[in-house]
Amino acid sequence: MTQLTKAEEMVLLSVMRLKEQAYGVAIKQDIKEITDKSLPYGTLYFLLDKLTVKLFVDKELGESTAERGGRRKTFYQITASGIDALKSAFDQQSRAWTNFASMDLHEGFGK
Amino acid sequence: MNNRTFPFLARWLLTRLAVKRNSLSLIGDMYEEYAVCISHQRWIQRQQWLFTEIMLPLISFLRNHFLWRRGMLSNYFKISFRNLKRSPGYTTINIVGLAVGMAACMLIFLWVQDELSFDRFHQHHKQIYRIIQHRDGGWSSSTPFSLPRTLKKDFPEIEQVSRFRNQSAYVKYDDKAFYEEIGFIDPDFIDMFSFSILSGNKETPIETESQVIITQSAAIKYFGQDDPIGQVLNLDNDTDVTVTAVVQDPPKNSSMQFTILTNFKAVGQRMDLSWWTGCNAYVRLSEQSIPADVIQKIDGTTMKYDQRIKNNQINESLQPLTRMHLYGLNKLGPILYVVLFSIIAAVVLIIACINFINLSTAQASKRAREIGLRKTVGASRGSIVRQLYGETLVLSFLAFFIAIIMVAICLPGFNQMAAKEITLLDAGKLPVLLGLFTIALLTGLVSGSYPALLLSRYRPIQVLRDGASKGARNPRLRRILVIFQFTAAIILISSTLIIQRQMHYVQNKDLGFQKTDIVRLNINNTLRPNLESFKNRLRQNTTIVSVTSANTTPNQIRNINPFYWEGRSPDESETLNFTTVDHDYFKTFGLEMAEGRAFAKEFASDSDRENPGYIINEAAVAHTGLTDPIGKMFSIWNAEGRVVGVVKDFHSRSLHDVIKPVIFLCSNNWQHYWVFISIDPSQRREAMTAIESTWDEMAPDYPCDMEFLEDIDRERYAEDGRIASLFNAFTYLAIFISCLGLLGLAAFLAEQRTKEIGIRKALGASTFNISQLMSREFILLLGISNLLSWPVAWFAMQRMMTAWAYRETIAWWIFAGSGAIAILIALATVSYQSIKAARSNPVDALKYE
Repeated sequence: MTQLTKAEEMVLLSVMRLKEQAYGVAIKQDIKEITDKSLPYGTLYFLLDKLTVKLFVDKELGESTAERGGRRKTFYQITASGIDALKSAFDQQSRAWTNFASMDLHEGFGK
Repeated sequence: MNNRTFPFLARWLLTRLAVKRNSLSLIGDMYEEYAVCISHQRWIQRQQWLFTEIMLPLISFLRNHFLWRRGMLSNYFKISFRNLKRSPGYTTINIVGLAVGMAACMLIFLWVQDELSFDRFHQHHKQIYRIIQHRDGGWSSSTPFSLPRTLKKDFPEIEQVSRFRNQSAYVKYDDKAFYEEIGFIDPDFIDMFSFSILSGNKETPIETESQVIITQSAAIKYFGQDDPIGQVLNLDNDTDVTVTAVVQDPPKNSSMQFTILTNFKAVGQRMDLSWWTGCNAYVRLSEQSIPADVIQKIDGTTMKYDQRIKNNQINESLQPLTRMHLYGLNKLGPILYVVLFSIIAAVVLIIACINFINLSTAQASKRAREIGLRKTVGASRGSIVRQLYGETLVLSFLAFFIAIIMVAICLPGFNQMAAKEITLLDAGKLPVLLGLFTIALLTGLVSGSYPALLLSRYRPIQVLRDGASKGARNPRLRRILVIFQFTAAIILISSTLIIQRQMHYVQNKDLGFQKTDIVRLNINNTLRPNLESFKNRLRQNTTIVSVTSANTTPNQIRNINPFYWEGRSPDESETLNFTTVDHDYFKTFGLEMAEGRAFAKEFASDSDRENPGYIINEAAVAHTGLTDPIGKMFSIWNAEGRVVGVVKDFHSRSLHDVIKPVIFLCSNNWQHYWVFISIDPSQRREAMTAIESTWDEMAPDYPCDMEFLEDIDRERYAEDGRIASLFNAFTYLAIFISCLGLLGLAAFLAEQRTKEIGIRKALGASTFNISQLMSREFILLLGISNLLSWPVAWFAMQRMMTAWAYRETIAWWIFAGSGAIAILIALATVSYQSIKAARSNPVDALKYE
């Protein structure tokens, strides 16, 4: 199973959350709401491309509007293997973060 | 939202740089978001949005791009440096060969540019034309004094006219006195030509004949730091003239050269209106006029105004100022050499490039593995092509800089040889330098093409398994290249030999008159009244063989005048070359009479004013068609006289021209310009001292400026000599470059056949067998080169020799000889390598097997 990077994970989660409405602008805003950081379109499309190549998302051309200067939207949709990837990532993460909340944060590395 | 509202630069960057498969949706997304920005946010926030969305990614894109490239680039440099270091011999030959070729090309380029720039510095050069006349079967730039004025009066298209006649004069100021070139000009001259007046009267500096303009360098020479304006100079110990303006020195690439300019009226009122005395004249046409129409209109003007011409057809035409220097009049001028040298430059550069291609190809097998490996680890064909092009470009630019240094070093010597003042670095040379840069770029690209395109095509598996690919050895191409460069070299060698032979012929040809041990002196105002006594005093000296005075030098008879003769009426006059001489002329120059006698004092009628005696040359006899010419009537200016003798033809002009009819008139009354003194060669020094002391007594206010006829004759071929030595130099260069290439190639072949040679030696082949084996192919190729080059060289030289009316034949042995020279040089080059290979110990070659 291919590992997801943190950024890919964010994008993939966002695509899943947005369901049919997952296209560039929407994904970018969604990510901004969660992380409070703006992801430039260049980076966003780079990540979406990687996810497409890994077959974690499908893409499909949508309608065009006047405010887009006549250019069509590309809608992304998560695939079954994408969901698998998220699941395994979640599993890994939860294992890795187990007991994080109960740890004494000042004990481990302070010395 | 539409294209207009989205910033143009951002849009452009996006369309260029966004990944193609996403770009449409990506730009659409950006438009959508930017539209929101526009409606909700202020200007500064919009800019911030643009900055983070476009500028920041762009910056990181560029940085990554560069970092990736740098990694590869440093690897390319490392590898190519290692390759160069591995075979320093090849590298040196490659770079030096290319650099020498480029340097030669640059020098020719500079020379050609200098030749082409002649007379183009004049602001109105496109509208200025020289008046030329066609008569006696040839064009002449010497046009009647009255013609320009008449043309200006008659034809409105002609806006300005000026005559230009230059003459040497003895100029004095205080204790400083020199001979200077005086240009006699009409007032329009100042405005027509762009010799800029630096100080003084800029509008009307030469209203009268007693006003002169002097050049800046002359001003410094005569007046030093003083203000030259208003100073008085003395001309020919006779006239005082006032300096009214200072003009810039005429540049070297100006056809008109002078140190002093004065009004044409100074030539003399009577001459000024003449239809029979000539000088150069220029017109400036109005901008709207069509030159071809003007030429048609002015044609025949002299015939219309000068009623005395009946039998001669005289036509007028115009020659563009910019063609004057390059094209000459009746024969091709320097343009011939411009074209020829450009071809040579191209050939030399091509030879250098060929060597580069040849050697790079030869090196190819060594690089094949590297490229196979690069491909295996993922290099695209494009990146390999770029790498190899990059390498040759780096080498060619290295060669380019070495070439520039070479040119800078050679330029002073080159200038001396070509009599030029070319500089490498000044404002006007920018296009030249750009051109040279382009040459370097092209050389790199052309040289790189073969290895880059060939090597990048190899299949990695094949290369890695079989080692050196078969494609790397391309005997047919290599052979063609060798043939090409030696064909060029042999053409150059034989051409040089032919030109040298012609120069030798010209210097040693019997001109039909004595040119050795004859001193020429100019007759000035002081000497003229006492000319007879001056000559008589010289004759008394035992060291002096003979003395004569004449209107022109015997090898420069160009004056023309209308003549008629037995069987023709004065209306049927025809212009012929003519010169006035005294009684001793024929004796002094050792001219032989074919018929009749030379002029003699005993026959008073010889120099009679009304019915003089005439001597004509054989060409004139043939021209006039007189049978038994002695005693026949001949006439100039209605002075009907008798032919007393026929002189054998001699070269009255340079060897470029055929011998023309010449008429001699014995007269001391006519203006003589020169005294010729034949001296005893065994008492040269005494004779010269005697001449000088006599001169100082009789014309103390002029320097005794003795010239030898031999030097004058040699000087007229100086330009031909310069061309010959340029040819010579470039031939040596071409041979040198070809040999460098051959040396590299032979070394490579020897290396490739190391094992073969080892086995042959082990089986008993002698050193001689081996060297024979190695040289045989080259001899064959050179033989083919010879066959190819002979007809080309013969044809080219046949064309070039037409510039000479009298020329050495093009002998077959020249071609055979130059072929032999080329073969010898090539063999010497190759044999070094083949003997080295043949003498090697077979054990060394075979022990690694």
